[in-house]
Amino acid sequence: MQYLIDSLGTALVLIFSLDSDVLSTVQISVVTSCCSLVIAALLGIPLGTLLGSYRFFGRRVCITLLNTMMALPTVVVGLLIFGLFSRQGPFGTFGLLFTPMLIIIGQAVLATPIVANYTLAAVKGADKRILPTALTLGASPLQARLQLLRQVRFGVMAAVIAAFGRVIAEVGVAMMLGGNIRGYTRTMTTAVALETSKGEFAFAMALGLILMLLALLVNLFLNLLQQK
Amino acid sequence: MPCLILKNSYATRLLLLLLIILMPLCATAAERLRLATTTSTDNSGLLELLLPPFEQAYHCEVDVIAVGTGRALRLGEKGDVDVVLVHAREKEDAFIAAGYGVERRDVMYNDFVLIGPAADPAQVAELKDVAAAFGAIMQAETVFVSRGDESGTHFREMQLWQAAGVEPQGPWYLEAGRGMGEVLIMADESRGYALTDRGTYLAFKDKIALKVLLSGDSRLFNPYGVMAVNPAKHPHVKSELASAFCEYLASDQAKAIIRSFRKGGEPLFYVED
Amino acid sequence: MIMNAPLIQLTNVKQRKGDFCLEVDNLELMPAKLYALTGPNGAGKSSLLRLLALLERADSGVICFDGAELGSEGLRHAARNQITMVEQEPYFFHGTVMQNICYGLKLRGLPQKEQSRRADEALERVALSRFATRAVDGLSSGEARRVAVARAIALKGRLLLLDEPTANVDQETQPYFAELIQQLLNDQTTVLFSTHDASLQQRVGAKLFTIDAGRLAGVSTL
Repeated sequence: MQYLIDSLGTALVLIFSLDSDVLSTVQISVVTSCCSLVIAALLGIPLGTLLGSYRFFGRRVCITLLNTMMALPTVVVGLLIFGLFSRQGPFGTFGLLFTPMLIIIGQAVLATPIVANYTLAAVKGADKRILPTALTLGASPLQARLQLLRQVRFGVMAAVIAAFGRVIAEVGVAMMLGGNIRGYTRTMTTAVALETSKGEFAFAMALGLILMLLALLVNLFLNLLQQK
Repeated sequence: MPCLILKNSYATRLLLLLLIILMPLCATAAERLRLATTTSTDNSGLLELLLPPFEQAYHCEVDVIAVGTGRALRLGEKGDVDVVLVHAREKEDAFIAAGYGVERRDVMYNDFVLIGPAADPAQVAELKDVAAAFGAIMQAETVFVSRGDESGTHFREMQLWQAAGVEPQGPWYLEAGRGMGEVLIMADESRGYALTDRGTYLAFKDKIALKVLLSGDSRLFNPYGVMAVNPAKHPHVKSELASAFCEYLASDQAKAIIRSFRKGGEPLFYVED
Repeated sequence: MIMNAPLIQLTNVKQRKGDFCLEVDNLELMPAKLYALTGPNGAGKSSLLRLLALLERADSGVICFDGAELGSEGLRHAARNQITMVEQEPYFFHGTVMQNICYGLKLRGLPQKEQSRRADEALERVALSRFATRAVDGLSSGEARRVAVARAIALKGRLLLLDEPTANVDQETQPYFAELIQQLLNDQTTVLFSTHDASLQQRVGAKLFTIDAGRLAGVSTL
């Protein structure tokens, strides 16, 4: 019990003294996660809208595929992308392995199915009268779809928040694709993995606390938006 | 139509914030040299002292990718890194012979130690021969925790079992598949034996109850070597910078830093004079 | 533009939805005229209205708006810009009455001042001038229907379609309806409404179409 309290104490000191290693991991985590979310939103929201709006050949297959991808362990996703982007792989020439860029790509792969799935649910559950109403008021089909998205925007925001939760807390992808390079690709989660393996529980706990704080802040932000 | 998106002030503000945060990521002005090394080397903390002078002199950043020895060598074989620093002599020689690497240089050395519970149920402390000690552990069927992950430590452990003429098997032999630190903790919890590099043991001395029971055998000698990845096999590697790095590690400047590096008053690595 | 050319014309139009088949041999709506569409429940009134609103496509046949055949989506969109519809259960977007009315006006690129002016004008015509800043959530069904009408007439379309405009609505709403229709006709808007109430049609002097089991019978003139 004592060692837990000691670790907590050291953790708080690390946080409040703005330890540069801690700050670096936080920055890298937040930046890679946010960038991957942008990609996931750009891909996932249209995809979810499409799947939720039209019936087309292969729709069921797509949805099953999405659900499967959501359930994939992060290490597996990391492994697959590693195979694609290592020098032996088809995209090896870009030299993206062990860079933050590849973490972003990997996390985007994790996040996109979540965004797409939640958006699909939101669009499917939307009032059926939205589209015809928008159309009769003069919207083009594209504008009408955008208006529908605006009407279900809380569902879409929930999609992005859920995806954020998945990527900020994952280790497998960041570790495999980033290489846990100090100050470059060391995220909060890979740092925790490393420090725990070194027995440095205080540092690991500090990062764990920050992760929880981040999750709290994101949820508060969502609450704020919903009240507007 | 675009105005429908920009109208949402949250979106624009978020986008601007994102761009500001992204700035540091885009700053890739310095050249980056990729170094694959072992987790124990990285965990020792030596590289944090050893790398900055090189980085400053050559205006570059060294990316340290710390994985098991097996994986580090594979990264070198595939050309995913520019230079490899490991401690598995036979594997290193094979790496060079197969043409994956050029110019292997000796960097430093330390030793492995056999640690175990102070009570020493297998009674290895009296034996001077580490192979005999391994045999005794097998006989006594006391818990032995292995790295089980093709690391340098694991390779050495396998060689020692071979030298003892036995194949470790049974519920007492735990193949952890984890890093050195985790193996030490596991060994501590099970009050068992383990083979470890001295550096990691020193780092964990205060956290575990196990003691060094056997050391000094020549077969526990642990030399580190650095190799540049062969540009003939992988033209994209930064061969000039890699060569310079190898030269640096063997230089007097590096030797001085390695010699002065201590933990708890004891040196972790040694260099040839 | 010749004055007696039809505004919208359906020829040999067929639409199949499951077992139900909508068939219109010939339907012509002239500019600035008033029409009523009656028929029993399930006869296809709403389907015909949705077809006229260009919300749905026919399986076969030709629809012409202002003399031009509507083939491409671009032409349909341009025509939709001049057709407005008020559904029986209108849907409102999240926000205020004013925001809802301005949605269509914004799409047409009108400046902010003009949007407000038109919205206020439309609300006055349905006797809801004080309702501009009200949230749409708290409206009674009668008020909601009137806001939907205001939303449609603010766009000043050339064809206004109303699905059961006086059904399930309080008595007080009905008198304004006749007056509103007259104003719209004066503005050169064609109005078509569907209704159960045969007397309403007579009261406002509309030309009558009847539809039964998907088949449209001709115009009965007054």
